[in-house]
Amino acid sequence: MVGVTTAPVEVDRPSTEREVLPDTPWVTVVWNDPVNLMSYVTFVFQDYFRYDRAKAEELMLQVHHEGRSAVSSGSREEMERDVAALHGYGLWATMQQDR
Amino acid sequence: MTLAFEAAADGVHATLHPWAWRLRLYLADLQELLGPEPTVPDHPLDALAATLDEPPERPSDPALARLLPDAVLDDPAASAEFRRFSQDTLLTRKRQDAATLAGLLDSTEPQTVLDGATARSVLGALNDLRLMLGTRLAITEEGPAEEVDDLVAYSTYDLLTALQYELVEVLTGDRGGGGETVAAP
Repeated sequence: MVGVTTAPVEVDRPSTEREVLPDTPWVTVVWNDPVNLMSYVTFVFQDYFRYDRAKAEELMLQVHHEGRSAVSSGSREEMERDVAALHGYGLWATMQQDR
Repeated sequence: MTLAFEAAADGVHATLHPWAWRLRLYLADLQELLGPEPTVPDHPLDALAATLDEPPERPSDPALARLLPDAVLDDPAASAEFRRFSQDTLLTRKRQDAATLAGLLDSTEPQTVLDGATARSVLGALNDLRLMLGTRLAITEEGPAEEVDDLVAYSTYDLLTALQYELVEVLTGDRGGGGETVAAP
């Protein structure tokens, strides 16, 4: 998992709506849905992220019980890649900035 | 009891013919929902021009919208931009997965040996079928939302659940034999 650790820098920036601070990491969130099997969601976390069984199950249970889980973090481009891959597996995934 | 998927030294052994007609019925639905593969523009400039078109909208069919979900919550513009660059690839993958399963169902061999990539493709198609049927049957955590009036669809959804469960077990090494395991060391 890639984390950006650079301290935020105060800059004057135009207040456009889509502006984002480049050093604020993004996260990929997987949402609970009533169709995907718990074992399948665990499998996807192992297969795509190469997480070990324990971590994959922990994230799956968080999705199941809390309705969602942040499963990866990194740059916007990395999260776009993760979300696209998870959609490929049929999981309900979104990306957002980690505020 | 017939197992649909079994781990073996040479891959995953798939035996789907006992359920082929029911799976084929809904696989045809899924393939229609995904639509045909678009023709590739002959000229690079045509491909470039296509990226300047309006981004694709969220599908109006709820089942297709579940297969191609929004990538950003509460931000239709950002989700549309995401669709512009990822939806074709996503649809291509889902069409390929569906074609892999269709090929398996059409095989005259009683049993087919799947390598890891093909097994994952079959798994993807089974999941897409469950998502399509689950959406149409309005499945909730407690099961179908209302009285089920389409018993074939509901029993096929249950069948798909069992098949997917089996295949996941085989791929994660939870079901005997010398099957591969996907867990990272």
